[in-house]
Amino acid sequence: MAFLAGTNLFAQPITAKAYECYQAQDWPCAKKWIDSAIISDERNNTQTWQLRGVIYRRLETAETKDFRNIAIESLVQARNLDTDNQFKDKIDELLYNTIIRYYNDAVTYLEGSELLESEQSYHVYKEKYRKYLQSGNDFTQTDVDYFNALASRYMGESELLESGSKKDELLEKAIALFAHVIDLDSTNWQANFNSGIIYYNRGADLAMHADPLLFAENIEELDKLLNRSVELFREALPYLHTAERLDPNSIPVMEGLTGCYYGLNDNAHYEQYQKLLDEHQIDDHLRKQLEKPNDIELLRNILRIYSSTIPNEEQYLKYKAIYDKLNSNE
Amino acid sequence: MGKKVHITVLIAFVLCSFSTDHSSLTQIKDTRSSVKALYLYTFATLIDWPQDYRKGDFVIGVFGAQEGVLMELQKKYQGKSIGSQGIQIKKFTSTSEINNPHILYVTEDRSSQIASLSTKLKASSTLLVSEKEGDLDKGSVINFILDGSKQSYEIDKGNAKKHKLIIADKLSALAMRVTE
Repeated sequence: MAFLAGTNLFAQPITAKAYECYQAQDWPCAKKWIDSAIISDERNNTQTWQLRGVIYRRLETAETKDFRNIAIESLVQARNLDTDNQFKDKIDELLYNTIIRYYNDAVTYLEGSELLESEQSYHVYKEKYRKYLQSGNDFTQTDVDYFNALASRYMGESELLESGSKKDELLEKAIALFAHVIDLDSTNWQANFNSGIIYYNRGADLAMHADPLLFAENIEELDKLLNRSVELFREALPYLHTAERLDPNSIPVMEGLTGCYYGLNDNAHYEQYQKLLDEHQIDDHLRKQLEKPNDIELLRNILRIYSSTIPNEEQYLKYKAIYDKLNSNE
Repeated sequence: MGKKVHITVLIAFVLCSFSTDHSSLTQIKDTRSSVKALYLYTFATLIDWPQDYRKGDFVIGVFGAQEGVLMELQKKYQGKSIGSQGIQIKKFTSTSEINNPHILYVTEDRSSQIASLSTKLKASSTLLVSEKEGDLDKGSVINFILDGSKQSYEIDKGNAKKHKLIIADKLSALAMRVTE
């Protein structure tokens, strides 16, 4: 405890006792003495409150989360009493290192998929940072990073579910969070791309996972479903095109746009993006074909490319022979 | 302040690892085949076949290059039922193989054979489904067409009658076009 170095603690005997216990790592003892110090005459001493802040920080556990607040309040009181700013930097550092724990919690909760708790922690972090450290702090970049991460987690959670209202709820939350990021930074590639992908996947899932038994009695519902699927593909486009402008060589963006236009039955644009995609990926496909010579799906794709988007009769015939041989063996 | 910078950088690193681009989610999905297969199944549920077609398997045949639709039919509908009839999906590679399926879906690349197929099947109650402009005039009963961006269909009731097929009103109601 550097701030106590050289200080004459004789005039603060109770704080000195607390400090002794602290140095001996006897936390219950340290707590007892420091809590006594703040109700004695020593309560007007900045170092008493600094030490209290440090002790309560040290004592914080999952079961005693309120100790963090007590630590913060103690350090704030220490700052109030430090009228000549002798300990300003030290106190600010201690406050920062205590308040950042809310941010750490937000990240830990993200990891544990406790997403509501994570967001709550993040908001508390910002609130306390502004209140106790720097009221005008610009959180824009931190917000962009955090909310992108949070939204991605919601997307990840939704992938664990095949369908249903819970999945929709998770995706709605992800969309809202990505929208918030885009409000902060309209050129954020990740938020734009992921928003586009969510809409694309929802449109595709509607078309591909519809329960056919529902429509025999109610074909109007099939019509509504197909209309909704088309709407979702259309909603995806602006986001994917923004992502495309930001990174014209992104394969995932090309795939998204290809998929959307395919779903929209827009052959002109579909073929344009399919060709672009194929030109970017053909070498990769050919390399994979050597690694996985029995992959029929891959061969079909290669044949499609050499017969349509990158026409090449020689290559087509070469891979057709491989394909036919595999097919006849099956 | 070194410790402060270290913490911030560490957290940024951790957040970046959460912020994936989910590129695995962008694999192109064959939505068109799913929709056409869904329509073919729906046609099967909303059309009445004559009595002698209501026993044995309900056969949906695919003639042409649409591997996607064939695979979708096999994956989702093979083994399901239309009434008391189990659905069987068949791929036909030549017209000689076609033997009065309940539904015959003829893909665009085989459109030139619609007229001859219609003649071959004139005595049967096969629902001939095509997907090229003008194919109703060549004898198909239902033709896939686009309604803007959405897959839709048109019906020729006269052709349906020739094959003794009764089309439910609600199927006609949602068609983009119905010709008598």
